[in-house]
Amino acid sequence: MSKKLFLALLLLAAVIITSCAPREESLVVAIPTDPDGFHPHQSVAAASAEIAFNIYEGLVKAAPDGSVVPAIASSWEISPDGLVYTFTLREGVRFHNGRLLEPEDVVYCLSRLVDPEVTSKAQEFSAVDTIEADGDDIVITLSRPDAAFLALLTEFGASIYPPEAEEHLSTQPVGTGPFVLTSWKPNNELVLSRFEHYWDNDLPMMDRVVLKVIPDPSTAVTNLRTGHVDLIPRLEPDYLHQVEDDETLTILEQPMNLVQLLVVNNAREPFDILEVRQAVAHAINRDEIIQGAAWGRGTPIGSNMSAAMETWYVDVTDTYEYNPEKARDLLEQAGYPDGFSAVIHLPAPYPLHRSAGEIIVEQLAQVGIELDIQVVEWSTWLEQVYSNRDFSLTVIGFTGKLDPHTVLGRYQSGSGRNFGNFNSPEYDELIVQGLLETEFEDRHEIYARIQEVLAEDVAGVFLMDPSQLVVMNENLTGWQQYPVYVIDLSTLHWKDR
Amino acid sequence: MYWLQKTFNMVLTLVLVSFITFAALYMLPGDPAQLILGTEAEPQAVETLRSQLGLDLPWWQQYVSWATDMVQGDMGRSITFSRGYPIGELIASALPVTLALALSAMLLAFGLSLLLGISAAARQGSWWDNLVLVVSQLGISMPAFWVGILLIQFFALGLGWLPPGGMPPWHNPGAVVAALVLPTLALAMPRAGIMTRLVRSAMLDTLGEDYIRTARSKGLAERVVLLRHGLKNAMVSIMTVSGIQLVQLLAGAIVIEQVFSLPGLGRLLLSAVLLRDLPLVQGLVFAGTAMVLFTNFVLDMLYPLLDPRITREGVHHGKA
Repeated sequence: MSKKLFLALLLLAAVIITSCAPREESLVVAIPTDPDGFHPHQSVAAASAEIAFNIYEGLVKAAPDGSVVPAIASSWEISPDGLVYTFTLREGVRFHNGRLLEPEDVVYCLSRLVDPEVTSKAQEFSAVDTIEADGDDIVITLSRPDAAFLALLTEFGASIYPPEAEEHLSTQPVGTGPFVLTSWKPNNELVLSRFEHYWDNDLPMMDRVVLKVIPDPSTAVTNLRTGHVDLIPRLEPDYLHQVEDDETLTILEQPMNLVQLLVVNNAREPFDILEVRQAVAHAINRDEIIQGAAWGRGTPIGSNMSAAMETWYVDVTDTYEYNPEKARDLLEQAGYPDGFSAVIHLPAPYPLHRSAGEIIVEQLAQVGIELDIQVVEWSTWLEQVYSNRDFSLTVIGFTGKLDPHTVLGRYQSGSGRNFGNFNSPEYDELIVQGLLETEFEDRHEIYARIQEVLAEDVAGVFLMDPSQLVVMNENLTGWQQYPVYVIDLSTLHWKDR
Repeated sequence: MYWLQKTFNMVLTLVLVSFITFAALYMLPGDPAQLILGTEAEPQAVETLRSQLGLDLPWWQQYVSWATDMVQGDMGRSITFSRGYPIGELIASALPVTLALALSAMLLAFGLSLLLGISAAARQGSWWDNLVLVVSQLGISMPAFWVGILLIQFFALGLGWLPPGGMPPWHNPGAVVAALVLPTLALAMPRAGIMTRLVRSAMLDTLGEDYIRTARSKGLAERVVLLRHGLKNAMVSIMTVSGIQLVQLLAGAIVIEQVFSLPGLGRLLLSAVLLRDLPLVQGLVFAGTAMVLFTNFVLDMLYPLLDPRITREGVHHGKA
């Protein structure tokens, strides 16, 4: 055989081999900030949890419809008194380091999670009494019923990791999820690769996902339009006009399960008077705010719950309808016939809350309440408004959770998160009942009443659930929207490939 | 003596700057633990986190332990931004990006301004001189970030010639160069504008000197007069201002890195300050100060070479 022929054959073989090899499917996603690390017991930023969802798993996890579905546990049983939870572990679950998951790993991680010495997340699990392995089962015993317990186990903090990897988890996470973190260059990008031994053989559908850190939304949009990025999971509504007319992009608009509200400091004069708060509620026109601040992309809400939480939501938006006339009457009754003036603090990094605040200033001026706007940096907002409660009015958003208790518990008079100083004995009692109640019907009734109390007593004026705007390359599909703050990368895939 | 004194000044400045940075950050409102926990924070959780991060120690203890580690070459770990990541590594990966950007912008600005400034000075009052003045004024008036946005709109979105931002891996030099073209242009423009005017006026000053007339009357070629006699003497004042410009260029890089989403020191610093990542800010300011001081140090060392009248004893004789 001549040398030339041999080379030609070799070349042909190379071409055949490479064309038969499956093409690597990859995806580039723009995210606004770096995670604060990936240690389930230390990292608490929303930016971490939303990515960690693809790397770690707990016994159970959240589903797009808001239910709790199996993950590391294939099934579970709850005793009739609501005190004993028995989880059966799925067989053959592997960690990213290749080792098979053992029941002892679960006991270790969850025992750490409920230890207040180890993590700030422990207090949510104060009802847990014992965690034990029984063969391939995990048995968790509670000291009192906790209806929110199962939903809490879906959170990032309840992830299961191999104890031997704990020391470096923050920067080198090891979980059981569909993706492995293969590289993390802070300020630049994170690379996730397909985990070959994921227990669900159909997932993930991408081989490689690059998360590019792009803080400036306008830069992210440019990258998307020039094809350097395939997906922006959360686009600020202000940038919508830049992508709306681009036919190479798909825009999905879905409720985000975020509660945007005007927080009213219930303990500060004159907002400690119910009539004044009612007047504020009557003076606010939600539709105008949704149009003006969110370009119409939002759903009005009347209490601290988004309609995205279908199971629990009740519509109380018309408790105090928009009626400036009534607002003025109420102010007169309260002893402020000529209105009054106050300060509204708006958080600088959130254009949506700032715009809403600016519209509220106009609306309240109509009934004689003159507001002075103070835009403050985020850390100042957290210290002055949230922590020291030194404010009258502010606009902010609360992210959603799976269980209504976790969402609504913040309005208990003694809660550290109750920075609006809401105080209602009826409410406090209902919240305690809601957690102890294990029958769905009864529980539903309690949370319906809870939502009404918040609206009637004007804990704040609840504005909207702003839509989450997902913008992506038109050839990309498989996005799943969750009522919790996560990005599910496992089901995303390219069309016709 | 000259060397020793300059070195001592440099070290003293570093210590002072690190202490002032620490004090300033310590007094700024905003608690790192609170920033991490956000609107879900319970006071108890904030306390736990504070002690995990070592923020519950008295301020002087925090500074001393930082300084002790620093002297041993350990810059510590990030606490809020990419928690647990070694700060040395963060800086080491961001530094080349900023250096590449700043140096290429500096070279471009320097080259452009020498070319334009000298040619304009040589023909003072000509149409070319006026054109240079107008263009340089335009360069000064347009802020770098605005130039950056315009460049992205035109070359990335419109023509699609160059990427709109981001940084490819270093082992792909072609892509790295392509990624740096627009940011370099944006960063260099305002500097080039200022420096062109400076070179022009420094050259005009020198060209008015007696020895230039002597050189010309000797019958030397105009090129030799301009470069050998004119430029060489104008160089001291050009170098001084260039040093200041380089420092400003590093500051300008913060904005440009944001516009082009480049993972450099500037963006790292901004994230660190916003998230109150105290050790990271400390480390970055330290590195930044060291860079600025080093630039000045090199300039100080260059002066005696350019102008022998600035002696190694640091004594000025007459006009520099």
